Amino acid sequence: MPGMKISRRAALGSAMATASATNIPSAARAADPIPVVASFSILADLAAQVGGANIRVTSLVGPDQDAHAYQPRPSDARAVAGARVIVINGLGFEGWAERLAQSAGFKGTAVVASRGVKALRASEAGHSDAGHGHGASGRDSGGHGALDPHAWQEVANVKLYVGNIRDGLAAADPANAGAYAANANATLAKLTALEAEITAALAAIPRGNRRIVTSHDAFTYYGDAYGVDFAAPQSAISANDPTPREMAALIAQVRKENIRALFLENISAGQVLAQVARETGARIGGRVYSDALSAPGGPAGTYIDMMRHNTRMFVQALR
Amino acid sequence: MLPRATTLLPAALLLLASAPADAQIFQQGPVETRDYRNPNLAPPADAHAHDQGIETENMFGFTLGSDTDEAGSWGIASENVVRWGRAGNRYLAYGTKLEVAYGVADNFSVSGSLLGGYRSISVVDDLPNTNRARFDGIGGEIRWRILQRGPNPIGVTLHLEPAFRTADEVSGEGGRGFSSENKLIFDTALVPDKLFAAMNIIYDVEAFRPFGADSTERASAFGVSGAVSAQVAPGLFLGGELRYLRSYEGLGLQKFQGQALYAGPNLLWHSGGNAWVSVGYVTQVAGRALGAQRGLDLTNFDRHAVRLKVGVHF
Repeated sequence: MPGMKISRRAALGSAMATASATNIPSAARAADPIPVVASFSILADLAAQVGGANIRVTSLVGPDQDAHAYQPRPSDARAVAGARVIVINGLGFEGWAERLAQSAGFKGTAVVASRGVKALRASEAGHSDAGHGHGASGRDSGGHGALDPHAWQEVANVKLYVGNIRDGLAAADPANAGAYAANANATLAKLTALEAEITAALAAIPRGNRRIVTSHDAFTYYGDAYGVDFAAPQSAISANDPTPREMAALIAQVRKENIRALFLENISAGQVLAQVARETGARIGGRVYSDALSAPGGPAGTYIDMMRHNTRMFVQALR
Repeated sequence: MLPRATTLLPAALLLLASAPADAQIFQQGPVETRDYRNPNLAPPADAHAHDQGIETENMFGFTLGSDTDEAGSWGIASENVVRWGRAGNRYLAYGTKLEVAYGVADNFSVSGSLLGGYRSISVVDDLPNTNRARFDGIGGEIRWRILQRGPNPIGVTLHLEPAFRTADEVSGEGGRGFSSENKLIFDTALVPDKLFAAMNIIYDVEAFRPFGADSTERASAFGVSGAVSAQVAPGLFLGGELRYLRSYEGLGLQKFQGQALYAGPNLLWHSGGNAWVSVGYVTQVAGRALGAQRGLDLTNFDRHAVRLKVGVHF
């Protein structure tokens, strides 16, 4: 639910928590952790990785929650008002953030995690994000139209996120800048390993077979970075009761585009999807995470676990 | 007693939220974009590819769009046309068609239909007085999309609409006849997803022998129509059309009888599901019957016409 807090223990990866503890100066360890607010769970995890025990993170949109449906509540305004640092994604993902921070009288350090990312353009009609109504205008950068805000789906971008979070925390809490830098370096090393892991996993799938139809519209950066073709269903599909016309269109698309896997979690009619799979040979994929982590202890409890889990799901379905 | 802070906070937030923002708290800075490394994910360079999800067939009122039913899909539609205003005392004709359509292939669809009608005619040139409803016959449509809009800048479809009639469409007289409304349809998206345009080249033929008559009446019409339609809200399209028609005796445009120019608005509403409603109205704004001095042709053509078509896809 909005305003749900991530406990420090849950949000920290266990290895990272150890690294953080060893790098915290004793004087700083004795101080209260500084309050940090992140707009959604993925950023909350990244902030927790970098901040370690020196920060207390609140995620406005919690694990398993839909950031697109988020509406700020008074409790969120109180959290923002009391925060020393706020971390948002930017690129238009949190259209509500500026007004919420203004309304709450936020006076701390604002971190736009995607700052410096080279963004991908989103088409106006459905390629990346048309259904959500967010995405920043590229007017200032050459007039290329809306931008796809889901930059965290490319690990190289998240390295920039980590750097921006590190700098923001250090600006708000200079006494612990060294700890933030050390934690950030450790996180960056993990992200480098993660990139190699994803690339190696997908290398086992012939490039021509990496074609997925998905109702998720957040994997464009992933597909662009790691060579996976994600396509949206060309025709709208009713969630609970797909019509024969809709299913015929989906089957035609799967056949025509050599689609190998379907990740259509918004379609609840499992038998119908199974029929599509039988008729086309495409596999039905399991749950993947795009805009939110799973609950702590779930398959995608941290950003790194989320990327590993999604890659595993894609590879299993494409194999 | 002072109000508690917890009750004041939401109200204060709402008040503050409506206030103009001060300096930006979150500074994104200039955003640099990059090209896609995976060309299969790049937004289509051809903006025409964007409007594939919007069906144009019934977007333009009387003018038709080029889209055909998808392969394997079914649809049911009810088309109702009311025409009124001819030279004389009273002319009102209502035609209804109940249609079942099927997508044989992605670019080829067919339909079958039952036709019915009602005419109320009193003292109109060349038409017998009547005031009755009747079964008009059976018909169908054959639509062959020669060029698909989206991958191509324009869509082109050949539309044939044959009917075996048991009543004359204009007079309502009983008899036996055959008619076919034939169109070559062009359409395009002027602004992807937002603004569409269509043009029809029209060639209609009709042969009909009323019961008791010695000969078969043969007539044809040739014309062109153009229409535009804009999406003014999600699923709601508004626009207008112009139709120019010429009437002839003979199936091959042998003898000119008159001409008319129509203009009017159109509307299409497409629900979030599978249902849609299309409405078009045209009124004759100029015309001339053969040998007539008046500015409108109300001998061969109607003064006004409304088309209402509702349908559901499966």
